[in-house]
Amino acid sequence: MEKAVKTKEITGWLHLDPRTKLAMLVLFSVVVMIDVVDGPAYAIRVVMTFIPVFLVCLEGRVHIGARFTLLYVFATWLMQFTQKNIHGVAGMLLLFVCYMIMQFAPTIITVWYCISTTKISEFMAAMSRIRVPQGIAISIAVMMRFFPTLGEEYRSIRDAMRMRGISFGRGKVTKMVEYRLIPLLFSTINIGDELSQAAVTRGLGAPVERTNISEIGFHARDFLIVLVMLILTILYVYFTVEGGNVIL
Amino acid sequence: MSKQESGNKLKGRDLINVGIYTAIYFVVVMALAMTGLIPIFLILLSSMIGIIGGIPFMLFLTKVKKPGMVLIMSLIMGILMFVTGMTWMPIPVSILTGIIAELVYRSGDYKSMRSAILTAGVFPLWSCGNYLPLFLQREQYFADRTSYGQEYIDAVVRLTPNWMFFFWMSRRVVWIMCK
Repeated sequence: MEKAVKTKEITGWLHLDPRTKLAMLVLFSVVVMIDVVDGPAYAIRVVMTFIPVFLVCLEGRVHIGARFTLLYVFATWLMQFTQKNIHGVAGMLLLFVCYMIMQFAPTIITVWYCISTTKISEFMAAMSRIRVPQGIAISIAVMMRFFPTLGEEYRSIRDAMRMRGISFGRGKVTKMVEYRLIPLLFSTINIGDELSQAAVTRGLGAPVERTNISEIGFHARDFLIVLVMLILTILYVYFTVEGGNVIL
Repeated sequence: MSKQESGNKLKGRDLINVGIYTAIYFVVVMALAMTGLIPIFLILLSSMIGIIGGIPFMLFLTKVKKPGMVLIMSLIMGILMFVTGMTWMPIPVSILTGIIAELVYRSGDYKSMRSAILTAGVFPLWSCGNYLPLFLQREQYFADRTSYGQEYIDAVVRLTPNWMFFFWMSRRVVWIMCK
């Protein structure tokens, strides 16, 4: 149960307000859902893609930023190469993969950044500050906290299955799903029970207003980032409308 | 978990359950979405979510005793989809389907197996929201698949109870009796 030791949580010296990150996510989703391939809007899109990458690097995770940059550049290159040289089914497949990477990798890295640099208590404080109902806030917080646990459990189960000689590619697909999903489910039930007992002991669900000691608040850097993102998003939308691309 | 808490208000424990099962569900859905890289699986994806995602979801339903939990889970899935770049459409869709699923499960007093199975069939409809933009934006590309929504609904409703038969062997008798 030494999870606290194992989880590598980067708390972030940049210390952005969780609400800033939330705003970033929302603005980013706006950009991702509009699709462009060229023109000034595309340039803005690329710039916006690299803002979270830049932030990740600032937090001292340069290797992740670098890996992402490589992937993105490679996907862009491959897309252009495919469009020119490869046709038929293979070309379509490759284009599709590239498209998926370019579409979703930016959001994935943004989400990763937001989750890994936010402490749960900070998140809760921010949520109650913007008056999100407790039900949703607690559920999301638990969910965020649970992803690493799930990963850990899955790794142990995979090791156990390897010991038993059940590995990928052998046997049926249904068996593979069964041997992994069912143990995962049942171990998570236990963890969940423990978690809820711990939380109830600490007063979750008590009929009083919850207090929170984590300090959150907007600083100059928060305003700066939100402002930059906002301006870029507005420009992006403006250019896409101007360029006659269909929106929704 | 032996004692059932009375009252209809959601307690911390319920919310934690929602969080945990949403996490599992989301991971399963994402793992399935990875197979969506192969185009044929993209078409099958929604029904796959219904079938494989149904495993954790049924387990979740056994923990649901109060109104609102299914709705919250559905809403969170919608928000997650929004965050991962599927446009804003999943959110209203997920709220809508969440309410429907909630009502279906409520009709069985959060106990009946039959309504649980129906709920498991209705709930994955949230994933339809992901595909709405595909239809609205790239109509020419997906012109030959516009009937997909209806087909998908049929598929889930048809396949999920079939799978329930298979997987919840011990409950089969109960289900038939309910029917």
